[in-house]
Amino acid sequence: MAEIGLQNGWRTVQRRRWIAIAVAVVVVVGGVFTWVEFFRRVPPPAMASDEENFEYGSLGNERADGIPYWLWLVLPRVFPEHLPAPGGYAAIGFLSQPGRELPIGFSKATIGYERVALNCAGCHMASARLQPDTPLLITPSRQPQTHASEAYLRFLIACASDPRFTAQTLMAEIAKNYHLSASERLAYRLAIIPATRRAILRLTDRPVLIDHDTMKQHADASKVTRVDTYLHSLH
Amino acid sequence: MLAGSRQTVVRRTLLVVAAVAVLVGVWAVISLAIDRPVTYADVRDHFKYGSIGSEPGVSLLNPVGGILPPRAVFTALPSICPEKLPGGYASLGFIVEPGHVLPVGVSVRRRLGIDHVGLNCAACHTGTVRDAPDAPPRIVLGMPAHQLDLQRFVEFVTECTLDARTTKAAVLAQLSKTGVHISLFERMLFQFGLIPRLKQTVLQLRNRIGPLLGNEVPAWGRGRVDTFNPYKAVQFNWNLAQLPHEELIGASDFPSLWNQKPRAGMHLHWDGDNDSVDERNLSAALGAGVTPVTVDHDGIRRVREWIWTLQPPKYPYAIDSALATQGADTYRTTCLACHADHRFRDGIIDPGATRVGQVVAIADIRTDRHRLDSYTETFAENQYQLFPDSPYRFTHFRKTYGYANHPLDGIWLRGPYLHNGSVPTLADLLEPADQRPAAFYRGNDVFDRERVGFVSDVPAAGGRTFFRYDTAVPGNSNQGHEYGTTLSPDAKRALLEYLKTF
Repeated sequence: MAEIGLQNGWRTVQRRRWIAIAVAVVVVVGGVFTWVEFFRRVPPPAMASDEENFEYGSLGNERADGIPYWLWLVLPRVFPEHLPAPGGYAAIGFLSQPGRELPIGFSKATIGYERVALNCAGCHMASARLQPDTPLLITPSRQPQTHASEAYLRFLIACASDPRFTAQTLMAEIAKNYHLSASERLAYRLAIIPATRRAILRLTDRPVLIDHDTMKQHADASKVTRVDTYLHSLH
Repeated sequence: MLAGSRQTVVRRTLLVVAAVAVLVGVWAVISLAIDRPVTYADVRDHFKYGSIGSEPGVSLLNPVGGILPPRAVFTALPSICPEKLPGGYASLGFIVEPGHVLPVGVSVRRRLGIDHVGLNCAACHTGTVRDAPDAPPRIVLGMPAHQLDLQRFVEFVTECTLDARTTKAAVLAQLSKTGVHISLFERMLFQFGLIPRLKQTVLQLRNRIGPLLGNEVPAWGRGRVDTFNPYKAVQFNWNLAQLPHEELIGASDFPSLWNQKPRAGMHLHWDGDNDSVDERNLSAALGAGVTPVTVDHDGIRRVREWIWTLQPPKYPYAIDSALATQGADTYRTTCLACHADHRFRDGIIDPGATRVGQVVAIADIRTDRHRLDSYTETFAENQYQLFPDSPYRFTHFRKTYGYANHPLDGIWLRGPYLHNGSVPTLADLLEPADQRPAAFYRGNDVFDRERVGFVSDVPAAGGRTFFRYDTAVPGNSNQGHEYGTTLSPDAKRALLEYLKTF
């Protein structure tokens, strides 16, 4: 009897140990997964010049204001009716340079997952076509020239307010463009898509205007200074 | 004892059921996971029938890519809707070789448990030519598919797939007649809703490209395609009805695929919007139904290697070499700078050809501008987001403001002429614009040795109705490019003779 009791006790200890190990494994794996998928910060690519930095550089606001890249890519294709005309982001006034994936005014950074955020160039660019059948000239401008950024926010809000803003619809469109890994799919489906929707809908509580103070609050001060200096160096 | 044996029987039965369920599950998973094209050892057969990945894939419920229905449906459609397509796919200009069920330009690939079909490069870049109306056709790989009515083809396939007569029973009944075999798994998919699912997909496609299929835009006709407008709808889901109507008129001739190596770095496409052969190839593949996730890069690369140095066939009829030599002199002063000379077929670019592969401003070339305007800056900006996060992402596309000067290798097989195919023969092209034919027929493959081009004054022959091309229709103008039109009749005759040697 005593022997059996001892054996039972030993088994209990052993079982508890296994449970502890299992919990530890789950915590570690879950922690690593969470860190990799949501928080891991990859240094953004260095920009060749102050001009390029102004046009595509990160202000450090992707964490607070960024839209997950794959959502950003497919939103105009899933919700073209929320844009004023066919043409993706170009239809709301964003300008692009030859061969660049993102229009001027968008930066891309990886914080867990790739995120796209607006920077100053979204508004502070001017464009002109001097003659018909010639290329459009694009130049940075101290005075804001477009309302593309505000139209962009309105577009995001319209998308997030649409009942079709679901993991099912959006993942189906992403699947036409890219093979996400199983863990990325899980992260997008369970966390990133619903969280993005909630975050965008929170914008509806305040007027949709680009507010420099709020923008600077979310951004990295040194990065803002570099852009400010550049803008003031322009004639 | 009795209870025990009953228990054993129940347990055994359950075990057998579970084993069968597991086996069926494994079978289904394996069937769904297989992605296997029908392959060909000879590169010419690969070009004609091999896959570039334009068959649908990724998911049974949300298929990605592809324009055509599964092979079993595709081969049954002409019999299911005979009044929509008397004469079958061949009447639309598809080339069906003896012993083949599927035409040239259609590949087969098993994906998601289904034998799918897709279009490949050969669909739009293989043509036929005949010496005389009663002569047999010769198939020329890489030449423009001047006989193919792609618009009517897409229209037929979508309409007949959506037709109420296209049912599971009708499709399966055709299998024995067409000799097409389908797997047990595919047969089960037919039982479990493949046709309704297919109709839903086709309906989505038709909703997107609808404005390009009906009579809202001028007919493309045989040998022409609107390259970029379908792409705006299919890839980016633009509502075409919201675009300026003029922008939807973009039909232009299929080009030849020969000699890509000496074309590297030239401005390709009619408006010269891309100077990368590989990117242009991949973009053309999108038009055939490929997507960034279903593309078969190896299949495309194999075609690319082959067309890199593929030469056009030589002019098979008599050439007056003395006359051609005279013509070469005229050519050197009138045409060479923009078009290079006859040696381009061997990959040689004359140093004097300083403007070959460059874009000439629309104000100077003055040909029909619709095709140019169908490609917009906004569209280019969207193209840069294709093949995202991959080495294949598009970066070379540029909006241009004119049309590109193309080398003329194999020009005898590339009629009708100008980007929109508005001038039937080379002889007509050397006439002032107002003396070129105002209307003619496209799609006849009988060669006209006198005027160099295809016979263009016959409305129908051999069961095919040709396309009446009216130059007064928007997009079809035959104006512009009046180089060489003021030469003497003798000089023109000599020039024509020289062009046969290309």
